[in-house]
Order: sequence, then structure tokens, then C-alpha cells
Amino acid sequence: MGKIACLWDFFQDKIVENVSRALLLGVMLFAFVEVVRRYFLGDTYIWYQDVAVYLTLTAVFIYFAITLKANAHIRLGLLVDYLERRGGVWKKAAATLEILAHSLSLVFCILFVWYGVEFVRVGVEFGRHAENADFLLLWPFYIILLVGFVFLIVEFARLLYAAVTKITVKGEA
Amino acid sequence: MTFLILSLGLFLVSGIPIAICLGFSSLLYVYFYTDYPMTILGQSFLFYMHKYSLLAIPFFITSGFVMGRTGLLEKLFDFAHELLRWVHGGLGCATMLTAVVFAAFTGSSVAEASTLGSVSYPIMKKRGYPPSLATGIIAMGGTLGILIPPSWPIILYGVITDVSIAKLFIAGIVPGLVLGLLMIILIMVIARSKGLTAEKASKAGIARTLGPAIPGLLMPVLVLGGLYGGLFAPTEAGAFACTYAILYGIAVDRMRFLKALPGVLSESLRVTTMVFFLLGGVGLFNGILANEYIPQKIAQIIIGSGFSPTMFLLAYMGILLVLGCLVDASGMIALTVPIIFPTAMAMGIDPIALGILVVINCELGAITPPMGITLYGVSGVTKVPIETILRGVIPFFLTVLGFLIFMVFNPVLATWLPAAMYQPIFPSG
Repeated sequence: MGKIACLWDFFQDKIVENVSRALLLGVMLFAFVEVVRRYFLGDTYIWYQDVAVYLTLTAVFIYFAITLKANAHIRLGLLVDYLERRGGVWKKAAATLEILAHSLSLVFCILFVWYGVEFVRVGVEFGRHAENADFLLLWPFYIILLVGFVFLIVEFARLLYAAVTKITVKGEA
Repeated sequence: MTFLILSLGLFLVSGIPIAICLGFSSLLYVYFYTDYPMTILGQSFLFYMHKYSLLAIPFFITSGFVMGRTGLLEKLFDFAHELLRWVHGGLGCATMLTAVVFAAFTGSSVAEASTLGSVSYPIMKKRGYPPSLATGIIAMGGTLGILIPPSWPIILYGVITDVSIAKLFIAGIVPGLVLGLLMIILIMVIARSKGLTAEKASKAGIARTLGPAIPGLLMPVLVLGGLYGGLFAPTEAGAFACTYAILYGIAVDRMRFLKALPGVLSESLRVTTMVFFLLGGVGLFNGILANEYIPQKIAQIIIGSGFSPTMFLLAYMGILLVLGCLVDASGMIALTVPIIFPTAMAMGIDPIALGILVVINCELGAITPPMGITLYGVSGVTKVPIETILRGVIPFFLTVLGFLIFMVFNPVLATWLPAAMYQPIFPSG
């Protein structure tokens, strides 16, 4: 189990993170070059905006889980924090609430992927493409969105496992 | 509608990420109460994300983080300090002035406050500034970044409401500068009462620090000048700001900067992903609201109950103030704007003025506990306890609150500049 977790962390922190960074930097430089091209050469690629948008979305989608790991997705943690501060039985209630939150989040992500498969299928069937770039089919980006949610499922499952372990270990002690 | 609001409330309270709260309550509503195909989920999640203008968010966030690492802020601060030595509390005023200039190339209040804190706090501490005052100035200075363009909460509001981001940026200039000026005056008054005397200004000092500060002073001129001069759109302005910052970083401190760049990109990606994920949730939630005509129903109820636009705005600002204690700027906008905006439009409230009011409220949210993220940013950098920072922030908070109420009654402060700059080519009539 520990080895799989290490492999997953390596995959997320070394591969996914670097791909996202490279995409973000690449899009930024690309956008800058387009400004220069338009004003100094009077030329621009009609497909540039669409490509920039979808490459950025790729970077963002695959980064969903890393942001979750960094606890950077905003949430209203007031009640959990308050219960934790009160200590004693309330602390256990906070831990239970945390388990509930992770479980519900996990269920949402699974349902999103489940229904998303049909969304991708429709996208493939109708051959949807970007507005100004005929060559840019949208279904690969739909798949990347689902991949981002699959990463989230794994991360939520890990958080849930950690929360359950915390409460059971403490209970045994 | 009751099911939607109740489920959203329950999810929010249980500590689920807000984007998922919005998404899950929408998903359950679609499943149990409508006959829409479930493919609507993916479609709605991506609704706002196709917009090119949204790219301005990662670009400006990155430019702020990059600039924080280049050491340019220190140079700006040195120059501002030399320039304002002669006033009471000159060091504090210099911090605020630096914040105003730095706000013009960063969209993030935490990035600004943290960088500002690491630069100005040690000097203020050495010069005898009470920690509460010093950190209060830094926290308030940091939040100015939210209002003075470019600002990602403004972009977020523009994307959700489909209001021109360029016009919103322009609308933020005057209130941002007035607020900056009010803060400087307030610092002078507090400094005088605390016996922080003025120093002697030196022309040599100003001349010595001006040179290194020029790239920093030039940046807002180029970015905002290009934006308002029609040279580029907000997104391209962001790309320009970012490239400028990266090139400056490479030119000044090549190896150290390049080593720090991946970390900077990660910081930027974290904020960007948080905003985009939230926007996905808003897309889902907003899709349901629109399909079920919920904002229209709310508008009918509010207008029918005899609320005047001013009363409505004051009530909305009150709700935002409370919400600001619980969530950050993105949460405040995501949770309220989709519901409130159609009502506000039905009541004839100017969409640009409303945007600026929302963003000023976000500023207050950034410095109110327990969710005031700027407070934590400043506390992390300066190692001053939150309670001490809070004491220092109170006078600034009250001033911004007063300014917010003034703006509710005088929205023209936000609307006149965009109206003047965007004259119709063919006047009607």
C-alpha cells in the first residue's frame, strides 16, 4: 500500500506537476509572441486563442488533485475547526464530519466521471471542435477533464482512508 | 428551489470544497427534479471555461508571484521610502504607496501582502513602529491588489456576469487610488498620534533609488497603458506582464531566478486551479438556476416587497461582509453573484458599479477573521500573531467600510471613468 502511495505521489509531484508548469509557461509565452506578431508583423493565427484556452485547461484539469493535496480548494471549514477547538467528544464529531465530507466529495467525483463518459461519447459522435480551430476536436479535452476527476477520486480516497485511520487508531488507543 | 438551497447549505457546513458543494447540489437536483440528460453536467461544468478572457487570471497571478521573487518590490519600496521620508509615518506611507504600484501588476492579495511583509516589516520594526500598526498597514496594502487592476476577482466577476473586463478594470482605478490616498492620510494621522516623526528628505536619496525602481514603475505604465490604449486585451496584458516579469527576473538574477521559477509556477497553478474548479461548480449551479428561472423568481419577490436599489445594495453588502468572514473572495463571488446579479439588473443597478462594490467587499473579507487569508499571509511572513495584526487592521477596516457605504450612495465614482473612455462612436438620437 505504501509503495503504491509513493508511486502515486511521484507521478503527481514529478510528472503531472511538471507537465502543468510547462503548459502554463508555454501558453504565456505563446500569448506574448502573438501580441508581438500582431503589432509588429500584422499577422496572427486565427486558432491561437482556442489553443491557448484548451492548453491552459489541460494544465488546470490535471492539477485538480495536486491542489486538493495542498488543501488549496476553498471550503467553509468553520464548523469543523470550531468542533476541533472544543476538544473531547467534539473532536470526534469533527473527525466524523471530515469523513462525511470526504465521502460525499468522493461520491460526487465518481458520479461526475460516470455521467461524464456519456458526455465524452456524445462529443466524439458529434465531432465537436473549437470555435476558431476546426482541427481542435474537443473530446480529448473532455477526456482530460475526466482524468482530472479520476485523479481527484484517488486523492479523496486517500484523504478518506487517512481520516478513517486517524479516528480508528485514536479509538483503539 | 428549497431542495437546492438546503442541500447546498448542508454540504457547505460539512466542510466540502465549495466547488463540489455547488456541483453536488446541482447534480442531485438534476437527477431528482428534472428530466434533463445527465450530460448537462459536463457541459455546464465547462460553461465558463471556454472564455479566452479567463486566461488573464493565471497570467496576472503568475506575474504577481514572479515579481515577488525578482526583488523589484524592494527597489520600489526603497524609492517610495525616499520619496515620502518627509511625512509623518513616511515608512508606512511608503509601504502603502508601494502596494498601490505593485497592485498594478499582481492580481493576488496574498502574494502582495506576503512580499510586502517580508520587505517592509523588518525596517518598520527597526524604526519603532508598533507591530500592530506595521502589520495592519501591510495587510491593508496587500488587499488593495484586489481592487486596483488587474485583479482576478474582477476577472471572475466579469466572466460570471459577462460584463466587459476591460471596463471593470478601468472602473477599479479611481476607487483604488482614492482608497490608497485615504489609507496614506490615515497612516499619517496614526503615526503623528504615536509619535512617529518625519525624517529629512534627501534629493540624493531619491535620485539614487529612482534608477533601480524604473523597471517596476515602467511595468504598470506599459501594462495599463497598453490595456487602455487599445494595444492589447486583458488576457494579452496578463501575458505581457508575465513575460516582462520573467525577462526582468532572468536579466537581474539569472540562476537564482530560474531555480525559483518552477516553484512560482506551482504557486500560481494552485490559485488558478482553485479558481477554475470553483468556476466549474458555479457553471453547474448557474445552469440549474437559469433553467429553473430562480434568479427571476427571487427578483420578483424582492422588487415586489418594495426594496429600493440602495436598500437592496446595502443588504447585499451586509451579506457579503458576513460571508467574507467565512470564505475568500472567490467564494464570495461564486456563491452570491449568480443569484444576485439578475436581481440587481432588474432593479436597474449598474453592473460595473456592482462589480466594484463586490470587489471592495472582497477586500474587507481578506482582512476579516477567521477566513481573512491576507491576515494569515502577513502573519506567516512577519511571525506576528493574528490578534495583533487584527488590532492594527481595525482603523483601516473601518475606513474601507465607510468608503464602501459612500460608494453605495455614489456609484458614479466607479462608473464615470469607463463611461468617459468608452464613448459611443455614433451617438444615438
